[in-house]
Amino acid sequence: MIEMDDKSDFEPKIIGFLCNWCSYAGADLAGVSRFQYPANVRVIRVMCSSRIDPQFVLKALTEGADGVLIAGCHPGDCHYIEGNYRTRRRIAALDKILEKYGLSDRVFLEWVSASEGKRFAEVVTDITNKLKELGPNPHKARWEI
Amino acid sequence: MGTYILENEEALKKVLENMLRKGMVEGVMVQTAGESGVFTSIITDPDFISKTAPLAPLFSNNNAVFLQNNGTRNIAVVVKPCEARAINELKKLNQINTDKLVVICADCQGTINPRDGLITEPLTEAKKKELEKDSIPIRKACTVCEHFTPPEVDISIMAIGTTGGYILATDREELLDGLELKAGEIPSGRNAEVEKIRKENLEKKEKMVEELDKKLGSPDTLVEFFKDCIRCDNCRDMCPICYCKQCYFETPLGDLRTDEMLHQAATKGILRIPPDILFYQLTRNIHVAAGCVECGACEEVCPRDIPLLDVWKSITGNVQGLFEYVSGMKRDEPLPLVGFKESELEEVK
Repeated sequence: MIEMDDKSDFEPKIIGFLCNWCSYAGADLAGVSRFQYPANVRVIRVMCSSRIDPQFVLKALTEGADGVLIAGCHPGDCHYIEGNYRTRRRIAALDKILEKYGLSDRVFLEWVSASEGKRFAEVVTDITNKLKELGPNPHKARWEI
Repeated sequence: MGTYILENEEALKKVLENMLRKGMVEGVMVQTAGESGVFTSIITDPDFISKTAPLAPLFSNNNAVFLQNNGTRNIAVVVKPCEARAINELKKLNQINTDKLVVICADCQGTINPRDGLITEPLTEAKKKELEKDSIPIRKACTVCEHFTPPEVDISIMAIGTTGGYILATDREELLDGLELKAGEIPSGRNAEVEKIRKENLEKKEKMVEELDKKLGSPDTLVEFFKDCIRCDNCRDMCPICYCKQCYFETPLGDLRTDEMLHQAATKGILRIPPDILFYQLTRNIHVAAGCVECGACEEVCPRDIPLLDVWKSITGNVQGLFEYVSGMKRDEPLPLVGFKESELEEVK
């Protein structure tokens, strides 16, 4: 049985998909530069943000992740030229669907470059706070889905 | 574009027969009356054309499903607008070779599931009233349909706006070789009449979506909505747009055996069987939404009567609207999830 966390000391679990070339390096820089940020994000490195099938996001949410962060290179900076433009369309479409189901607040698409260690720390802090405000993913406690 | 007059359904059959006899096509896929009912069939013998009912308002499944991966031989198909749209969409997805198809599509004024009644004459307003009296329901998808006129096809047949008879319009006039058809004109009042029906249907659709939004908005009601799903995969199999050769839910990751089920159960301590009901439905949503033609075939085959069409009506417009795209209307245009613009969707992040 999973105990529902009390909202006050609720620590959201965030699945972070970071692109290898920008955001992962950005997260690395945040670490090397010793910027403080909440330890709520579980990082999965992918070669490009367009590697992320929206299905990954859905799997995370239905299995009970409180939030999903997708981070890639800034538009125009993709290592594979156009990968992140495709990601943007896919996540926009996903967002439209999740809106109907009341889950769209839990998915975040951010652009973080390799030099933006500071920004990575800010992004994670920001979404952790937003999710704390929002409370746990209701599907975390439901098994019959 | 050539436009010709067809006096009645028989004239359309003549067109089919001519194509078959002249060898322009090797077969015709069309609805045919058999002894136990009316079935979609592929006809190679022109003598069977007399038994066909090309404009019968019946829909039991979207026949575009069966045209996927068509071969090298020419075939003419008589389809409903939703099926024609699915064919166009599958063409863009490289699943159908439209060069080998002659797609013939007529205005559709609603269809009936053959299990509810066997009607072979095309629906008109008067006929619809009659059906209502006999309490034979028109399919739900048809009552809220926005695209009931032919999309881009080889031969389109127009019924709305004409005073009896049909207008045939085609860019491929070689398909009519040997027939003496009278030239006609697209009736002037047609557009107004089409818009009138579209507006009526749109109103009904909006009401449907409004009702659904009340049901789906919260996580609890969302679970409630899909709770009866038994993962029979009927909706997937009968969906023309759900075309993957290997579905995720047939791979070891998606089709779990007990060892994996135990592993997955450990996350929450308990696991419903069959697993991943919501995940399955949401996956279908994201995979299909950009191409959904809203034919309602999924709901038709759902053994647990989940109102799936309502879901599609609710999300398809939103997703396709985002990219200013309407699925299946044209044969050559970039798919929304394949193309992109450099500056767009700034608000997403």
